[in-house]
Amino acid sequence: MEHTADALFHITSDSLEGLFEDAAKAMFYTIYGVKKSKEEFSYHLCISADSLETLLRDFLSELLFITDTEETVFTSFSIEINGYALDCTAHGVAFDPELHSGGTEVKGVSYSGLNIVKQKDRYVLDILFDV
Amino acid sequence: MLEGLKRINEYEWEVPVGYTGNMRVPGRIFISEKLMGTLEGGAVQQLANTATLPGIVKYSLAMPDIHWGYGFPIGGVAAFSMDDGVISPGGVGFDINCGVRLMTTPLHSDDFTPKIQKAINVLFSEIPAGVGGKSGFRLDRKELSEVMTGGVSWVIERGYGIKEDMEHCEDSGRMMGADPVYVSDKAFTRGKNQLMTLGSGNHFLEIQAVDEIFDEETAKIFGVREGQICVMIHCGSRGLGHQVCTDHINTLEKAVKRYGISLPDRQLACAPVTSDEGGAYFAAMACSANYAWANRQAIMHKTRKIFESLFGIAYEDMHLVYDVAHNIAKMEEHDVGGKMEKLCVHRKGATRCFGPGSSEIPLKYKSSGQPVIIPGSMGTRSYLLKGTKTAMEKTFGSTCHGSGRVLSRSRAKKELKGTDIREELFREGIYVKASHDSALAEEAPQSYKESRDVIEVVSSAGLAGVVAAMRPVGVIKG
Repeated sequence: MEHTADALFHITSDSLEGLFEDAAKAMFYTIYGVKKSKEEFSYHLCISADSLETLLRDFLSELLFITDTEETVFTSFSIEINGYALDCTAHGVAFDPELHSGGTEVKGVSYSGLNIVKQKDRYVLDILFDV
Repeated sequence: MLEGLKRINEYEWEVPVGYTGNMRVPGRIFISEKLMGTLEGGAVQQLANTATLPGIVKYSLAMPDIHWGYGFPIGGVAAFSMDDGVISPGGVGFDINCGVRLMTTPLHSDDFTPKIQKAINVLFSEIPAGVGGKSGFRLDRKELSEVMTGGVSWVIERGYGIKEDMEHCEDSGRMMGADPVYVSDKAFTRGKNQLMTLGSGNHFLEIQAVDEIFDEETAKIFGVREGQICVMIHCGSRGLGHQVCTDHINTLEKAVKRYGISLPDRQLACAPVTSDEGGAYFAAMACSANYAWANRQAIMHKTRKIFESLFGIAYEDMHLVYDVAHNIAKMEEHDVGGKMEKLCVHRKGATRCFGPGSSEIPLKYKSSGQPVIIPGSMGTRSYLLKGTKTAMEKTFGSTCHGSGRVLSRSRAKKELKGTDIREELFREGIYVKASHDSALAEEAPQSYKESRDVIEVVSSAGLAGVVAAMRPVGVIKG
């Protein structure tokens, strides 16, 4: 979606897990410019929060921390959500400047306009990454 | 024109109380008729949202490079009372102390042009830029704590600069009140090997030639002359600052409930300036600000070393004109209704612009007002301005920070091709090296407002005096 300063995504999915997965994919696409990669590494994380929005923001912020410090590019995510708790295994490869320099660093996941709503059978989300 | 705005004079527009619910003060936007067409409804809404925060003083202000961000608009300035006001990371941003510095050299553009490609190629290979760029620094916890409290002085003590550099930074490159106790282990981990890295997005290192002098007397004081080669560095506090912002928004969200503050946007999470939570954010933000100053100093040191060896000029003959922060919250004294009052001033995409006589600026610049550095977009002029009394009176001593985007990054990438941009700029005499072509498309000159239009507003409204303009000749981008 159009946002002059940052990267704004409109995401829909028929499940919460799918919504979270696509939000993570959107973030990694923004940073590294790739949608798919081999799956040489996996990383397991558990997050809990007091709302779905906070859960999503904390999940993505944790992934940002991991990718910044472990230099791992994640492109697929197996997610389970129970209430406001999440269990995820992220799959990806080691950062390679030849393959992964097509994007721009995400500085943070913003709460601005962050709302997860259910419209009929689908979950809908707008999410803004500061780049 | 957007509905509901009221014209005050040629360059000032008011966003009246009532534009959105619970505004405590009006908004004021400094903008020209010409730039009015670029003003986004989302940005005005964010300016009005900022006006709802407790303890806001006078106005919620916006500079002419205003655009839609998160929390505050980019180009937003707001000051809060120490008694009942708040401090908010939404008024600073994730990139704490993102800022700019300008260094002069004794080189003249006529002699430099044939060497530009060589200089840019060496700078690009020596200064880590772009996603995944890692520094040669490996700081342990103790050293990193010292960077957070010492800022520029820590880097200079290690031989990465000269004493004069420190004097020529806002806050002497060392913000007081920094306390690493409030910085998380995660932020420490991210900070240990990113000192002396440029980052990506709109960050850059640019070699420029002074193109035009508008104010001879002040240009002399600032040490710039026509044709002179300068270096501009634009970057911030890297992952450390980003993590500090992320961590403290969590704490401040709880504080919002605790202090019963009602917010129109969660990203405006805040706490009273004098509360434990507000104080903790300020101490951690100051740590990040100092890291950012140290980062720009280390990059400038590397640049000086490269210029020294490539062009045979002395390290000491490359002078730092000034270093300014444009994402920061600071405690400053300002005139409120005829009385000097200590306030917490937030500048998000806005630059401090203290006028002549201010006690906060170096002796050398006391008569002229502080130097203010405004980067243009890639391929367009950057400007050197000076602080004014009018800015002290109208905007808590603040002015614009850049040219402001008009095209989203995604649309820029769709509509423009990095290789075309590179060739186009090359034909204009600007040699660009970036980690990836898409970075060039995102940051192409077409994505930004004309910097001269923004400068025209701040100069006509008295929010800065124009001293000189610099044109780019070489750029490295992340």
